[in-house]
Amino acid sequence: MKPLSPRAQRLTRAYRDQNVLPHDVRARLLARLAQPGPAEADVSRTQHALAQPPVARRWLRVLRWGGPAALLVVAIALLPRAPSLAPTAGGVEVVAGPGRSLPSPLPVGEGTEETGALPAGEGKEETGALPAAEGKENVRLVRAKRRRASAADTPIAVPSARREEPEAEEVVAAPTSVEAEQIAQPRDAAATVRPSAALQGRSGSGSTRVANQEAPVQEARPPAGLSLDDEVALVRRASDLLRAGDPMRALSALVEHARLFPAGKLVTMRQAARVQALCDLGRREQARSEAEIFLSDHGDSPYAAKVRQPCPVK
Amino acid sequence: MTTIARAGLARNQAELTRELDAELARIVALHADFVWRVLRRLGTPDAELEDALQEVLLVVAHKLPEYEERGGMRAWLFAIARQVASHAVRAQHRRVRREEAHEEPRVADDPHGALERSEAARFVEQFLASLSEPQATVFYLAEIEGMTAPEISLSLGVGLNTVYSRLRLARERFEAAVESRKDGSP
Repeated sequence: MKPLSPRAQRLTRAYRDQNVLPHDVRARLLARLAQPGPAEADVSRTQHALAQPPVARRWLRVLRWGGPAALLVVAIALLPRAPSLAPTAGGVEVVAGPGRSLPSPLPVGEGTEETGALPAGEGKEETGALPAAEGKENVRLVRAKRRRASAADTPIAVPSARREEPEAEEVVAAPTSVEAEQIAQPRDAAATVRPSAALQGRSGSGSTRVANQEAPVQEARPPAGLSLDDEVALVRRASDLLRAGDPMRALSALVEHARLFPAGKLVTMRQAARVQALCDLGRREQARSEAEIFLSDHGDSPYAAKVRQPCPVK
Repeated sequence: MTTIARAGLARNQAELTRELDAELARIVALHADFVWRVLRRLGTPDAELEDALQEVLLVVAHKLPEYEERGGMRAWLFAIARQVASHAVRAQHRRVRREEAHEEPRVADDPHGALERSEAARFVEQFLASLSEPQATVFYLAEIEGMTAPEISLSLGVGLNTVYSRLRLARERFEAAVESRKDGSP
């Protein structure tokens, strides 16, 4: 089949490049991924999520997901001698019929022993995760976590056995790729990287309130968890926008870069891109004066040649 | 089960968990933009996008152990995103109905700057909106996301020939639209 014409391709590229994950959302996501996961806090997190849903809409979701999640936890706990019934890792079937195998109501407090591994103040300390989001992800991630943990729990599914879990939790994740490495970068030495579990961090103040009581230790974590990956993404976004003919947004991405990475690795790239963005916006005088400054500071930079000719006549 | 066997299982599980987490991090690094765009494309309200993305990743985290590299990661992610988006859209409809019933004023929120997109991007957006949904989806996946026809076929659960014919028609229409845009624009 004949490919699209170059002109058509430019348009589709522009669409793609301008519909990327916004930087703030990505930063929150990465920060969450770099957070340590709660080791055994699931049950109480669920309970708190159920007990303190902030908004009516969230209530509905919590009820929808929280019920099955809590029942699932209970069901797992009630299967101490029946490994064959154990849900497999990621066992979706458990969701389909939560609690069906539940012989009697169990005190849900069974699993409430906290390990203090909750990332304290997460969400809050990042970018002020939407307050309305609290509660729901807790419960959802509890499902994820529970399923995954269930594979570990179930063969030794007596409640006390769960205390052995930290052994599994304390291992620092070994990223298999550069990207993963960069994501994990912002953690401090003691941080345990549990991306899937850490996604729970989205939960905002609902769990934060709980977490703060139990794990104030986590405050020392780097704030927004920004990495080189973020920096690269931001500058790349700016240069993509420039190419796509949107200097206004490119400039705002560059301003954001200057704010987030004042002494980043890509400062020269940013400054060079700024000159171009200013030219494209018709702010030629400013472009020239910034070009001069750039050249006096970084005359030997690979971008110097381009900056030396700011605003070429087209 | 002996204690040694239990310890062995726990260790294996720890390794498995570690691998899965690393894989999840990799997926986020490589495909978060894709999932984001797909969610938008499928009508997830802007205010819900971040939640929806989070939810997709949750499902991915759940199902990663079962994932088999048959049709490609993006086909799989698309299928999940589609489900999540449809929940979000339905929830939005319910909310709108409820709010209308209560006659509360609604503010169009655009937290992610959809309104600021460039003219080129808006043009593509409008073009996609002008297509029938099946055609738009095929065109979108092929031309915006660069997916192959077999990948699309698998993602959408439609035959390969159908994918090709939808794509061909959509491409023709797009080229025509681009042409008339060129004529109409300076």
